[in-house]
Amino acid sequence: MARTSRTGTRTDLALLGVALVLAIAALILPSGVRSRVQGALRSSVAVPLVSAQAWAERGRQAIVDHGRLVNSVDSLALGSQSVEPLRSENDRLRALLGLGQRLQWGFVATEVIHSRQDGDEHTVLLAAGSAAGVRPFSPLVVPEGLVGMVRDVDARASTAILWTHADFRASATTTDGLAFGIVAAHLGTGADRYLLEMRGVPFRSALKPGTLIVTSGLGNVFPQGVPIGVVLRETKTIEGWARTYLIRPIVSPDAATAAMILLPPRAAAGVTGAWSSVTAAENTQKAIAVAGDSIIADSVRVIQERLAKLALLDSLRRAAIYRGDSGVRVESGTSAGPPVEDARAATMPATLPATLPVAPKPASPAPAAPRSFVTKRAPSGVPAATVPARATPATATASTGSPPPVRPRTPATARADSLARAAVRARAADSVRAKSVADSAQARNRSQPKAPENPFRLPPDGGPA
Amino acid sequence: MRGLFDWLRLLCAVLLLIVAHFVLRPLLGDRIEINFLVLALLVLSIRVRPGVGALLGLMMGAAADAAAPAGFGSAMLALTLVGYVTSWLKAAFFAENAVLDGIVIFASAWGVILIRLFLSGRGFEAGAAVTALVWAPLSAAATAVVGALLFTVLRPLLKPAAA
Repeated sequence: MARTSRTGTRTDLALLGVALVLAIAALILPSGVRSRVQGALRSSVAVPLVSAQAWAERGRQAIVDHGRLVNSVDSLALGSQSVEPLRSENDRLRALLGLGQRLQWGFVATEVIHSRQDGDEHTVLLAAGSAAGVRPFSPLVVPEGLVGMVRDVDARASTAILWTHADFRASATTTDGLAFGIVAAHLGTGADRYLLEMRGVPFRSALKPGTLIVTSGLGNVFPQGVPIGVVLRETKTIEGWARTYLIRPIVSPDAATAAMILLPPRAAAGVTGAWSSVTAAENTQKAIAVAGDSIIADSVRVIQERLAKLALLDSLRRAAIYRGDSGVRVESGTSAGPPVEDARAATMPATLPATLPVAPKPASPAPAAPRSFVTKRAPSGVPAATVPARATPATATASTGSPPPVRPRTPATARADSLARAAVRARAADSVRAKSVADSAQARNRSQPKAPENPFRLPPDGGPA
Repeated sequence: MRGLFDWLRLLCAVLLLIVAHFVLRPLLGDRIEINFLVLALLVLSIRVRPGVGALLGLMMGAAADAAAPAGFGSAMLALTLVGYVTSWLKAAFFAENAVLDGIVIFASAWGVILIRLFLSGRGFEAGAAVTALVWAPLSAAATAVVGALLFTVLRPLLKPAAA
């Protein structure tokens, strides 16, 4: 038993020695040989293990990448939330730079700090004071237009009232200078609290919605031409001696985070051209609107005239058809104007056919009667107009020998007859007027004394003078 | 027949632990690693003679070194020693005591990590002390906890048949 144990111990020690020798040999192998042995193991007996470990490593990497991607997406989402405010602030600052380039001098750029306390939301703190030249009543402007006015000034800071403040007043006018008024806060409720009123506009000055309102320059506080807002509508006031308009302000007070204070010399010198793009756009818009209105009015008038002429001609044709004729004719030898067909063709629009479709003649049991024209000669030499003979029983009997069919007189036929008669009367009246003018001219010629004859002219027959 | 069945169960458990070492361990974490290979070697070594345990440790170390980018041979040497020692001391340590099992597993795992750390040349780099004294004990502790629980649960299955 003890011998067996000693033999086993020796065997174990031998195996341990072999294993240690192999392990140490693997440790001290040259790097090239070690790599080859390691590669042989990886590609032979350890293939499943190495593949499983590689698969697991990829899975772990995917998990890590997923977490990293989630973090990246979260970071991007968080960053994108701040992009839009930064972009809008960048745009505002760029616009402010543009305004500064247009003004060129006499302004102080300042940060506008809004107060969030109740009752103080219409006053802002400005980061510029008297050390920078700011004085009370200096205008506070942004690239869009007027924001407010400086009220109190310290050395390094100042306070300003916005246009929403109840004490804000500004003399205002339209861009064409035809209407003046005083702009103040509307002091309404709800959303109307953030509107303006233009009070004291004379009754003769009616402003259309959308009209741009700018400062008038009167009062020497605000320079002329700073945009304030656009007209929304007229409101009823209890005074009744002037108009009051609601104005939608151009500048939102909350959006003004950076502004410019116009110093007194600059305000006195004016800001002509600084907001010219706004006023130019307003004038262009007005011009386009006026041109469009005139074009539309002209078109409507022309269309109405043509429709009236067409209606008249159709009535004449319809009346003639009902009388068994194809139309109204005017004798060309005696009439001063063109025939009706020619006149109709002349008055037809170019896109319309020269003749209108003729309604089919109503069926009549009697044979078609020959054309019967009754020539009516107007008194005092009016040119004769030939109109279809009225279908009286007497004339019908005389011409055809048989009584004509009796057509019922409907309101339509009565209207057609009256229109035809009116047309004939109008043309006859024109002819009479022309004839009377010609007669009066001949009478004047006759009443004038004859020129003295030439005493030296020989008689035509050669006799003695 | 009964002995063959026991060996088959034992081999299945060892294979599962080896596969877990190569598949599950990379997914569990970077710093604290559970060394399932040590657990598989312990499961085997308590049933074989010390010399065979040393050879099993050598083979498992070779498998571990084949999948490791550096330090070829360090795992072979470490697991050879662990296999021999745990097989030699099986009567003393692998009693019906989970705490004792855990201590043996902790010592074995920490020793393997230290041997591999120093034999692979990384033991003298900056941060090696933290690895050897902080992360290695933590990894060994995690291995010990898992091993103690595993042995407690699988003891009826892995218990060798009575001679």
